[in-house]
Amino acid sequence: MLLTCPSCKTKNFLDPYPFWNFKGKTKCAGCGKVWRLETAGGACVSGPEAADGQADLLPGFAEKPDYSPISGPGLTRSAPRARKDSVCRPIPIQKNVRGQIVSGHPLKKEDLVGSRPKFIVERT
Amino acid sequence: MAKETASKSATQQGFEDFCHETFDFKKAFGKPEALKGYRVLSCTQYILGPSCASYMAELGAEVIKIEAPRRGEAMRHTTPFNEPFLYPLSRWVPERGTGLGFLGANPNEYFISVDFHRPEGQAIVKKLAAKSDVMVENYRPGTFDRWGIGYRQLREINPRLVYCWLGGFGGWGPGRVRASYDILGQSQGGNFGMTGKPEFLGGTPSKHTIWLADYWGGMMGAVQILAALYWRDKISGEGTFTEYSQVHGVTRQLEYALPLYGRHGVTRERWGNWDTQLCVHGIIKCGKSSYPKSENPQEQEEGYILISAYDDKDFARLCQAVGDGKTAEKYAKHDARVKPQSQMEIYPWLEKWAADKTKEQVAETLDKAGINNQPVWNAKEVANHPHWQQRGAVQWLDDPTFGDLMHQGPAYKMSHTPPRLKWALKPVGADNEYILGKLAGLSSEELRRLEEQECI
Repeated sequence: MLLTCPSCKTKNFLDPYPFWNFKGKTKCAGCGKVWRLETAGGACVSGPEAADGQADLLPGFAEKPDYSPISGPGLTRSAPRARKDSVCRPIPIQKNVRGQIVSGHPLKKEDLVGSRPKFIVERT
Repeated sequence: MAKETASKSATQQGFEDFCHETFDFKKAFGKPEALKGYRVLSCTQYILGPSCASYMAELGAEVIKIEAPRRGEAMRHTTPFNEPFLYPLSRWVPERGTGLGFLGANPNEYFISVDFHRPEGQAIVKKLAAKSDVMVENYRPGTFDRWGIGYRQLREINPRLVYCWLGGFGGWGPGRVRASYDILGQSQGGNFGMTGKPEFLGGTPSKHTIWLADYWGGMMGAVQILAALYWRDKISGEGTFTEYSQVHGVTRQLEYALPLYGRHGVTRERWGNWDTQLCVHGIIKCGKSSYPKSENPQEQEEGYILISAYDDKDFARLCQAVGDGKTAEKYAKHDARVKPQSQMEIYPWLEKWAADKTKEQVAETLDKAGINNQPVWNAKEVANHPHWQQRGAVQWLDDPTFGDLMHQGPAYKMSHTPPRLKWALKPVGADNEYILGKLAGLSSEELRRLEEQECI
């Protein structure tokens, strides 16, 4: 949902996943003012009201009234992740969910037979 | 009465066993393939084009996927949150992998790499087209025509070629010169405008998460190719130029929205997870989570369940199961139930009843009452259900390149010519020597030279 800051008119995009059922404070990425609000099913049901203190959750993205973007540490939060250890970089694996071999890690040319990984070709 | 019942169940049992044996996907490899002998060139990317060719590959056609040298097509570089990959991407770039986005739209195919921009690459495509039945491509309209490998050029070489172009807006018309993606197709086609929550429930439109316009489009493309092949082989001996626009495919599925507008001037609105034509026939929220201790935050959520009780008798039984005689009386007739104001009362009433139950508990109560219902399943629940494992909808595939993969099985069930899953995908250019040597007649020196120049 969109929080247009009542103070500076910056559009703060409260990304739907973390702000789906939210009760707490967020901070405008444009002017830093803290706002208390409550959402239910992604829609705002209470607020925004001016508040003090730290924000509980930052917006995902923000835009000034002239459409120039605002993002960065302390201003917006990085994308939500389904797993705590997810880093949005390739994660190598050797075995899959049922413990069988799968080619899920980077290889070198000497690891290949033609286009196939040697350890797949040679497994018993 | 008892004898009658006994003989009835024997017949039913017999039919089920007959179906199980006839359609057992594990026996597929012992039976013929419906499209064996047809050769399809797939110069495609993302999902729209590849899925069209893949539906034919599942049925036994020899599908040759042609990609850009070394790095392959763009879909190989898409994967959820940039994390899971299958290695190697190609024998030239083994330290990178193919993303999981590529899975499911490219099974059973042969993979070669050719640079379409170069005259030598175009000459190779012409050599292959001379020996192929079908060409599928989804580049921007007119691109292959400009490169000398479009329908107008290839039909001179092979008048029997069925040429299938798939894309967003078609090759002609005022809207034609634009790139298109599934989400754009859903937005323009009218789908996105009717899907999602109505205003009183939060009011957000929602696209289908799956690239439905692309998969549906691939299937429509495959149907028009098979029709063109039938016409060629049974009637005319000639090839066909076919064109498919994915926005048109989305519009095709809009049900009554267009006739409604034409007749009354009324624009169809979003109606969330309920139905505009039937009540009760929608998805409600259950208050308790089925996996409260899961690390996955979405799994921790409360569950959802589809309830279908639009027949008056079913609705009466539903009210009995919920224990509410007043609602049963007020909404006994479907005409009374289907009105928007009635639905806005009935579904919250059901959600109140389900507020202290998991979706499985709700399902158990409704099953006992004989009410049609289906808990909304996530990927884990689908993957572990014995019905879909036995029917081959979900298969463990021992892929010859990548190892143990869970993969969706082909959806057709055919008694004499079942489709089958041979392999999930291969690295870029894995079959260069086999296909270019066998079909394009290139010698090993020519192959080496073209490889050094990155033409293949």
